[in-house]
Amino acid sequence: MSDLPAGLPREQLLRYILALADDELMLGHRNSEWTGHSPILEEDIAFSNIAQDELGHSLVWYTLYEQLTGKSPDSMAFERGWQDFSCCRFVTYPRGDFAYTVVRQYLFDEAEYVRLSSFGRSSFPAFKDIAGKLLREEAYHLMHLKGLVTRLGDATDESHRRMQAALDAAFPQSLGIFEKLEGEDALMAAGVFPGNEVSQREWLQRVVPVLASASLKPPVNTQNGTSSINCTPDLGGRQGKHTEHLNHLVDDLQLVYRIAPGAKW
Amino acid sequence: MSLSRDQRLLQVALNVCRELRKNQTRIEQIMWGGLRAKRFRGKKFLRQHPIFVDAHGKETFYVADFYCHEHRLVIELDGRIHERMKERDELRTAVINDLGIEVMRFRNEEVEMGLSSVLKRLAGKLNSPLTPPLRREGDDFGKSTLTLDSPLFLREGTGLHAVGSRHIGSPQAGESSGLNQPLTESAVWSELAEIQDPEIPVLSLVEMKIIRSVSVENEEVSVVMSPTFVGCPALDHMKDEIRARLKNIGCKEVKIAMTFSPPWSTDMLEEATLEKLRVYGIAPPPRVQQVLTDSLNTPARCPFCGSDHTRMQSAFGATLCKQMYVCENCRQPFERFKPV
Repeated sequence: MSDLPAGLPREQLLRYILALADDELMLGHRNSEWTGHSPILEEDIAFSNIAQDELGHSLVWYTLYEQLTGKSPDSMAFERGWQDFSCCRFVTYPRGDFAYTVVRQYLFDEAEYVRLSSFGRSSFPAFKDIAGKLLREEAYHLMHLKGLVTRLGDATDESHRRMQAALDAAFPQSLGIFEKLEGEDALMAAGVFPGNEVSQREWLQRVVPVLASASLKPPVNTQNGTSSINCTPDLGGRQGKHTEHLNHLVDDLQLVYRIAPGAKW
Repeated sequence: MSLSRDQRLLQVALNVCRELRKNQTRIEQIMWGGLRAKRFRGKKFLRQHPIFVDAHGKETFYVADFYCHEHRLVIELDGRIHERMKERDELRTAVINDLGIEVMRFRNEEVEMGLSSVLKRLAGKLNSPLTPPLRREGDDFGKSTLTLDSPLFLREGTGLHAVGSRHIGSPQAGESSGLNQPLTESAVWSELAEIQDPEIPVLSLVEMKIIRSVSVENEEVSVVMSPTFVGCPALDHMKDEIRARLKNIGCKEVKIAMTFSPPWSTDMLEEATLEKLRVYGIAPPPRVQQVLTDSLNTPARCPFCGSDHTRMQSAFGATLCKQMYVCENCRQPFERFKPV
């Protein structure tokens, strides 16, 4: 186990690391549900890769958590109850149709890009190092998803209809990524990260033009270059307030582990 | 037999083989594309190679379509004409077998349908205990163990050279150091250099720059690794092998730590490593650009035919480290290592 550098608020930092890890674990699991079921083979392979990357990223965050607390990644992923996870609700929802998956993944990948990039200036060296590694892998996710959004957004009537419907559902949910975390102010003051409000603003500036280029309209008003949100954000995940969807997901995720806890593979 | 008669037979054989090589069939060309320039597992193959035999008291030669001396393996491609010559083939095979050489046959249709499945079968054969790489007592790498009287020759350059049991690829492991010897950093590095990447078995973890640093204190070793991709499922396997091997050379305790500082990048791979990748059949990664995904704009060179006329099918492949490409020139699909 290692110690934190002096001056960093321990409880708040642990809470944040867990949120990062839980986000990746749940989204990785949802993406893996496409393996064998994607509309075309290349997307089956792409989403399987993306899922594997995300599960790897969750492992990196859980491993950092372990270095600070002694709790193993397996115990964090497979032994917690569904209401103890601090992922945003967005990543727990079922995979929906392919359009929903594409929109969700795109919005999340842009949020990841903003989040990880901000860690490049973090006062916590581990955040800097991890972000440096993860960003290199995420680059391919963002490239792929941006391409899919741009192509599917206005390709045919059906693709546009599905993509717009997906955006209508997903956009309010995506705001849950930036739900204010308990103790966030302490983290900001210590220079760990710039805070969710700043990140969300940066994220908006990135996603709105890309969606517009694909003829997709999020519930956002843009005036004089600034965007303001025009919907109710789907919050609660960071405080463990989840929907039944996460209950079912966790049942699935933890089934094999719970049958034989502590088994050696 | 007199030397001059041997010489004449040799000359005839060489002329015949040279003509056959000049007039390769289309199927032989496809197969050669997969075997030439040591691109298959780093193994040296010869095409239209003479094998001298003593058939019923008469010295003669057969011409093997392809021959790998390291494994004493002949590869024959059978078209329809061979179906009529089954008996003749069986006799030739028996004679060649007596020399300690194995014969593996593929039908022309098999090669036409897919070189990759043919090469897969071949890989399976090379891995089986029946054709181990030739290694004899007291062999000196690179030195000849065959003379003019021996039945096998390799034509190199302008002259005739007898071929010895030369090992292709990285030198083989020496004896592992005994427990009595003090543990040194160089001994640890040597041992770690033997561990192959599970996905790309021609490269070691050291060549892959996955093993970043090593420190030894008495009998305790600390190894710092940097993962290629954090989601790589082979990481645990690599750690297990590192521990097992180091314990084997006398480490009492092995500590393994992961680092992302600096993060692993394909730019860390040396030219020699990239070349080994290419020979193995995976197109090497291009240098990473400022914007990482711009690296994909560098065209991939087909590892089979060398053409730049290739197309990326997907930035994602069967494993996290590979991308899928197709060669428009020779029509083979291939993989490229993902630049990261």
